[in-house]
Amino acid sequence: MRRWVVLAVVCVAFFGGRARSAGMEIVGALGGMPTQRGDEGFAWTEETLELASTIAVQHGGRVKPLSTFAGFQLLRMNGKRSLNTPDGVRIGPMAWMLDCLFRPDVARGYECFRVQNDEVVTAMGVRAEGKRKSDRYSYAQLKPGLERLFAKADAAHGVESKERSLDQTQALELATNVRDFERLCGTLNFARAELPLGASPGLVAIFGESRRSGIVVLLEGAAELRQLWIDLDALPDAQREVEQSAAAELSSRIDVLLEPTEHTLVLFAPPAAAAENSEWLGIGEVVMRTFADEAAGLESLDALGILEELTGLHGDPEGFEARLAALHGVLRERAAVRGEYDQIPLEVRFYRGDFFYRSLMGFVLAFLLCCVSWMAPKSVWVVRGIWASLLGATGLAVLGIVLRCIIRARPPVSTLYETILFITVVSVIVAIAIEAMNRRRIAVVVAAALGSAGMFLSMKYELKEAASAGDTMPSLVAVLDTNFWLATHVTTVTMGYAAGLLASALAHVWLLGRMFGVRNEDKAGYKSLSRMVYGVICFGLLFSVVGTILGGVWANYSWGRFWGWDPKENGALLICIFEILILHARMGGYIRDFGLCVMSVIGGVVVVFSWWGVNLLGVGLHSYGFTSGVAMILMSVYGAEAFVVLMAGAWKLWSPSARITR
Amino acid sequence: MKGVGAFLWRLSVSYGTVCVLLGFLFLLTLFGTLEQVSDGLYAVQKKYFESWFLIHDLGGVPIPLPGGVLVMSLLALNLVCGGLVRIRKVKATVGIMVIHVGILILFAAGLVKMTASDDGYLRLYEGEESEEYVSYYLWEVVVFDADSEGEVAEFVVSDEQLRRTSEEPLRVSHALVPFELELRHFRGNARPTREEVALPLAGDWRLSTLELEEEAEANIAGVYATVRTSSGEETAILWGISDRPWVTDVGERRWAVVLRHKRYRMPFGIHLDEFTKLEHPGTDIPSEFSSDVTQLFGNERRAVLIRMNEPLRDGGLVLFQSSWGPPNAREGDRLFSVFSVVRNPSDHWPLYACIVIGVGLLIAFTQKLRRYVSAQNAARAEEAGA
Repeated sequence: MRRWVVLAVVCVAFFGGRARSAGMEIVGALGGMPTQRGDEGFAWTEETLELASTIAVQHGGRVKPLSTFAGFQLLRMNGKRSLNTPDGVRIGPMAWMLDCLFRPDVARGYECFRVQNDEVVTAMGVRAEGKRKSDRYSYAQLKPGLERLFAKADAAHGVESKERSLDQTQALELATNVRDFERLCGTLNFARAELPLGASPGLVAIFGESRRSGIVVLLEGAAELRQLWIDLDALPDAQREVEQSAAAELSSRIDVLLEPTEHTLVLFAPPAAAAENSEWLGIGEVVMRTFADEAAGLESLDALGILEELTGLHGDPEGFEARLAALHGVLRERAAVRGEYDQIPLEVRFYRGDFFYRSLMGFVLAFLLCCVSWMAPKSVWVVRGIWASLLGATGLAVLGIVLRCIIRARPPVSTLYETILFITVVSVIVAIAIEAMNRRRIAVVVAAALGSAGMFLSMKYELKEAASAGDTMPSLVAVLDTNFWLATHVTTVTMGYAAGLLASALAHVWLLGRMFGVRNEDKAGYKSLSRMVYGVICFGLLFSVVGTILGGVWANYSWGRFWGWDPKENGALLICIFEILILHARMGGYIRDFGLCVMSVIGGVVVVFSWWGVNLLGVGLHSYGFTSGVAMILMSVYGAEAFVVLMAGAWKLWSPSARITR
Repeated sequence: MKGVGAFLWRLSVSYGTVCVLLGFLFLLTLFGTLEQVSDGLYAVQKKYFESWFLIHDLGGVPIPLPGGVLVMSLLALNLVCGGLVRIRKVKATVGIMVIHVGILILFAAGLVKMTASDDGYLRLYEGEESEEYVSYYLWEVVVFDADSEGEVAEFVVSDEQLRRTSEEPLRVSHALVPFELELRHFRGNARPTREEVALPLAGDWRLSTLELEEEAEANIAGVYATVRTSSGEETAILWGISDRPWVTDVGERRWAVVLRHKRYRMPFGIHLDEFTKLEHPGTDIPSEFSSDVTQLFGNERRAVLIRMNEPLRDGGLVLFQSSWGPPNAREGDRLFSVFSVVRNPSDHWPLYACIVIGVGLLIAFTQKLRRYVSAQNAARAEEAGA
């Protein structure tokens, strides 16, 4: 028992202590380590980062923590959730976001723009010496070529997305990222600016006493200012001209200052009485509504004042922290009254937990231990290590999925990204169940391999969703926004995918094992393996058929037709037909173990086609599934599987070892 | 004969037959999916899934294939013969038989849907009401007295009759109308033109035949119509998009002739009170479409809310929230709501089939799993003994 405890502690230390750079940094940041030094050893305190992380913002149709928003912004621009400052300090998304907001001059020096192909920067004329073909650039480095970049991006924007060249696509992406970065850095410009509040006698009369000249002061005198402008007609011509000129200058200055606030930080929850799912207010809207004497704006004036104060406080960490706490309190209160703050702390913990990366580490460890076990098959410690790491990794992945369900109050699968997580976990759990039944240490290897591949794929795809949707928990279109059908049809059909892929993976082991003569004498082992393949296909068929028909029933109840021969529907049908074909061919004696395995490998290709391939066709009603940029990977998978099938055929025809068992 | 009968019976119950048929169905589904990119859903559906035979073009090589109707009919036959009649009736095959019954229910649902259902749409602006819905792609020519008021009696030429006129003219007469109507050269997608094209002139115009659109709803049909009386005849081109009927004087009355999408009458009226479109805050992602309607039964009225995933079911019809418009509407503009309307006697059968098949699969695979676990336990016990 003690040994198990020690082993568990070692595994937990491994998964928990060696989280990926971003996760480690966040943990570190919140665990008392200085996170960033930048200029003159500056560092945001851990309390500041914690407070900032749990500020709620509305983005992409939902309310989320500022840390989530920051994480996806940085992921989209930088390709990962961390970056190295010019001083060589690694910082996380929250510190980066605070720098963009409060120390924009410093943030402009961070190399946070990932450029995958240097042709883009070469065309901009900013290709720097010593940079690799794919490298990261700072805003300051890109700035001299931005005009050319924007011109190129604008031209690319006019081209149909399917017809854009790689160069155009990358220019467009980089330009979008740069513009978003500029907006972020300019979000608090309004708070740093001095407004011309003494430019006319009328303005002096209103604001003359104030030593400040920011937007908040302006808004505090909004009623008098409105009156001044209403009464302009009553003024003598000369005085009116002066006042009009001052008003125009003030107005144009405010427009310039507020322009970057559009679509950036939407921080202010509407009043409690506003309708459910009402739009939150950004800084610009608060200013406008306050000026218009609307309650929604006036209620936010104190928070706006704190933001203004904060811009002058970043040199005073304690003062900054205290005022940030005040801002946090005001904003949280407004969101909490509407019941829109409840999931914020949980979501912060979810991303901080970095469950899927840790799960990946666990699966990789399990796989490595499996390899070790082939060299030391009798070592009990290795076997226990495999089980501990595999179960730990599966547990982490399940926990991550469950937390996502709680945060969004949705079933586990509602986006393509979530299908990857769910399919991986289901296939791993089924493989573990098989291993528990037959203890041949085959399914456990497949579980570790599938777990590693699935979690790796999920991380790569997260990057794509960050770029396209800015979130992996996006708002769903109306027809998909139904928990009943997401929980029934989508869940069952993806379980069918999982089983199809698991059967394919097991069939690969059978075929490659036989082709390379691995333990050829162990006929019982191979028999058992082919039975596993057969059993998993049966399991998969159950879920594929029920899931596919449930999809039809959903379509019937939503659109009035059970079956429309839509590509995604056809993809699911192809899986059902192929698996039924395998079972009938087996029952009819047309295929035996070898044929079963070859057909299961092809079945895996059918699953991949249904899961990803039909999305590339770009037609049909399942528009949520359209995916770009995966064609090359998909073709590689088809090619590799065709190679396996052909090699297996050749082996069956010509290899003496195949003839012996025929 | 006995030999042939026995051969056919063996063929219809064999696993080989079902494997071949499933193989064909797999190919049809695969080709029918890929070809949608170039040919659109409607054409593909007709070619692959609603046909007896077809020629598939595989990179320039013509491949003859059995069509979806043929393959699925033979599969149904095989299912009955092999999966229900010939199958050994023992405990171990109970699950399989239940599955086969479920699949038969599914096939039956498809057959009923194909032969006894109709569908269309109903588009209403806020404040409007209607008792009719309109087919997406079936056409009809309607003749009525242009001067009559109130309930108008109509003389209708059906879609099926119309389509036959592409081959040979159709002459029809009716007690309602004092003339003979001749229809010819029906084209599923066409436009009137003054250019020189193959079809004859009607006044200054001819009908130019166009390629069928990928989306069947986008086709606009056209047909030549001639009104013939004892005193002479008059010819015009009827075009499906024209919002005004062709009006011709016969005797002392004026008669209207119009080519339009087929209309179906509902057993109740629908009045659109208000259409609501919501978006997720700060985005243009739709979060809800819904229509507050009043269902009209003569003098009786019933308020109903139709929204995504929550249709109105009544009188054998189902009304789904389908679309809205105008797409460029600004805030405060009057909106219209579009409902898909379906009459399908087998509406709920797929759900019943799903339950039956699910239960069958559970029974069958639970039996197999139990046998597998027993075998594994026995093997382990044997290994331990050895």
